[in-house]
Amino acid sequence: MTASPSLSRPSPTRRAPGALRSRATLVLAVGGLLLIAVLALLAPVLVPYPEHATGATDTAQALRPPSAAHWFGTDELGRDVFSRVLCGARIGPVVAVLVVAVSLLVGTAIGLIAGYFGGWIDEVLMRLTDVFLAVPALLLALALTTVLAPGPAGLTVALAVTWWPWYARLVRGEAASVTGRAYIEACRALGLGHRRILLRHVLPNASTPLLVQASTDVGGVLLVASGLSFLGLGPQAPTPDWGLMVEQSQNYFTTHWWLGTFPGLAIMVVAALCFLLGDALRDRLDPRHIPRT
Amino acid sequence: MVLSVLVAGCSGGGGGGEDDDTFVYLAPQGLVTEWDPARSYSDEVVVLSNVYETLTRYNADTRRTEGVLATRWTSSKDRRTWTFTLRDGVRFHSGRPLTAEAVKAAIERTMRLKASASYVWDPVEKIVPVGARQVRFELSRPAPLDIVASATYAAYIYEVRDDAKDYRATDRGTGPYTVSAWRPGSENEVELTAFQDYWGGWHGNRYQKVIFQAVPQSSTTAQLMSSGEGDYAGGLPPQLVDTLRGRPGLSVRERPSWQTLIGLLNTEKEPLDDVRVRRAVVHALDYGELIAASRGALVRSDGVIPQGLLGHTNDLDLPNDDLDADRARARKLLKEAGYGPGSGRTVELELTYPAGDDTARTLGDLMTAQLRPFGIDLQVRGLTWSSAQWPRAKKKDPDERQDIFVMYWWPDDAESLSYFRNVFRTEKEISYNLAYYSNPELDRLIDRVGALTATDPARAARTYRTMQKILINDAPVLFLGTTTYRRVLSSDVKGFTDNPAYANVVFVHDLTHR
Repeated sequence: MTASPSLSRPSPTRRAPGALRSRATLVLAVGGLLLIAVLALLAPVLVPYPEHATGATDTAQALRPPSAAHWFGTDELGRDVFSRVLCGARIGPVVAVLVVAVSLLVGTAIGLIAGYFGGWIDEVLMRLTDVFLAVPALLLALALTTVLAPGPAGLTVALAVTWWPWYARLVRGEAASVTGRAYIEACRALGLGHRRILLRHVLPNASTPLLVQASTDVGGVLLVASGLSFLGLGPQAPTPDWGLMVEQSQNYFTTHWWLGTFPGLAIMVVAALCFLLGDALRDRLDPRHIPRT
Repeated sequence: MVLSVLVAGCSGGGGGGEDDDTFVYLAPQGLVTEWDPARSYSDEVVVLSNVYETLTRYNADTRRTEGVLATRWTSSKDRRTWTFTLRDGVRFHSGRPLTAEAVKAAIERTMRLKASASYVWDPVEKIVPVGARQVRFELSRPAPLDIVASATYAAYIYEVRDDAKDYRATDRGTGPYTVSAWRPGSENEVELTAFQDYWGGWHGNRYQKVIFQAVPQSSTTAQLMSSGEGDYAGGLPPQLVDTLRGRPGLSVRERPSWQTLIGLLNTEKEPLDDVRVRRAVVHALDYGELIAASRGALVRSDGVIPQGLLGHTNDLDLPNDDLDADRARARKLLKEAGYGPGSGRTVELELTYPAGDDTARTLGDLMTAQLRPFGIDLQVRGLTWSSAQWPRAKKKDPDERQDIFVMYWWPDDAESLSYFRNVFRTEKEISYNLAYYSNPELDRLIDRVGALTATDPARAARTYRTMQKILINDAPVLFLGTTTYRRVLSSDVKGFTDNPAYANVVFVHDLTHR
């Protein structure tokens, strides 16, 4: 014998606890993200001081520690940190989702075309992708945001430009591997159009890795976007962007810990939930992936 | 940074890692961008002032000039001829003695280069050495030359040598210290060592070595101070100064400075080209709240001229504490100009401030909130001074420039003139007049007031008052506040006085240690 069956194929008994845990993870991740989405959606009506997210100040209440009136304390201008953190869920995470959505669309289209048609089209598109991949993503995004107007829109564009090549690569690989298969040949023989073949018969093969990658990437993009905001290249004050709030709390960290801690935690929680979701999705959907037991 | 914190933590608890006779000056960034004493016009004066000396030094407490390289000076009645007697036994770091010829050569080179604040010497027509020990200055118009000679910039006496075009990291001065190392970009940027032949001598426990250390993070600076690794930190944010107050081994010194925070209103661009809109912005702000939000970093400005300088007065017609009246006035002015609620037009303004300045950022955000009820939409942007804020303010097309330019200004010598001459006098080429303001009447007064300062100080003070009134009336500027210097010092340091005439400079030879 070369390998025991349990190594090449998880036995039902070994698989069960892993599946259970992955299911719990999935529920936690989906539930957590849904909750955050609802909170973000309703933030303006939920938070006690919605005006503090849009520039209003209350200097009489400056730098108060967390209390019943201000759950997360107040910042140097007396703004309620809880209100700002919750309203901030409408900025960073939205930028992250948009970036991933745009990258998915563009990357998938390019990857499908390159993988399916092959030949010189593949060469041109993939070398173009390589050019973008050759420049470190953070550096390219940094350069682009300094050129574009600082703000959520500029940030989204800059990050989408750096992110799509990963999807193009991923989809191209999947597309190229199925294009030579007999059932695609059969589709062609039946006279189906390229578009129909691509969307109905090639793309579904790539959907699982895409879904896994996309859910993980929302967390990754959020981290990078917050990093760029931290450098002052994202939304500008008084926008309650999490990265910006952490940046502005720097000189207060040793004396007024709540200014930076709560927006920092918010970034961490959302990013972690996205990573968990990606993990759980892979465990459930990817037949080639053996769940950790 | 993590490493330096660890090091500080390990050696903590007083004494510190440096020798007792080393003075460690903590600065938020590298200091030296220009070594030429005739061209220096920036942070490096903190270093150069310990290497080079001037003929006189201004004492902001007594409001008089004191002798440094000169021991006596006299002037003719019309204040157009000044004679300085040089100190005996002064040697340059090269060993050569200080002579009248050397003084003439240095000041003439500074004037010829026309860099830095060399304009302070503009009244000088001729410099005549009288023997080896006396220098006579003949002026084209009266001027307080003893104050000019004490200027922070462009007044150093240095050795001019034909083969020495490059002054980089060398010292051709007479000061108490010589440059022993310069490592741009590294943590210990500059090191100075005692010049043993210094005329002031080295009796007592004086510091033999000075290190200028660049520490970008203010929390690290606070850490270094409390662990005894630093002897002086001049610009910590208020909340960190508060945590260090009362710590054993540290003392905190405060005094009002001559450093004013101003917002220059773009008089060439819509909508602030309309004086009514400018006045409305001036009156719409709540200065009391701005000062409170600075948490002690600023005090209220009384006008262009801060306390302690000729022409300062606190009875100018500035927006005062009657907020309701000021706000009503602002609304009326906006309405007259065709803006305000109900007009359908919003005033959109963009404010720029030097990135990294927490006080300016806080004030900017607060101003946005204060102006909103007036239908004024203020966007606040922190831009790097040298690469973005200043270059943008100098763009050819006025429409590409900012609406409000926030910066600090302090005088080049102990005269009020520089606040007006550099910031509000008509400029052919844009430099610091970033309100792009031009008023021939003010220009005329600016050109006259320098001579008046020398001949008739009382009249000069009245002229300064008129000049400030003109500016308040035309409203090209917001007086946001005057900086309070808050210095954190090691308790080992004795004899420190904070002299606002030399912003952020510590004359280390004046100090002793335990």
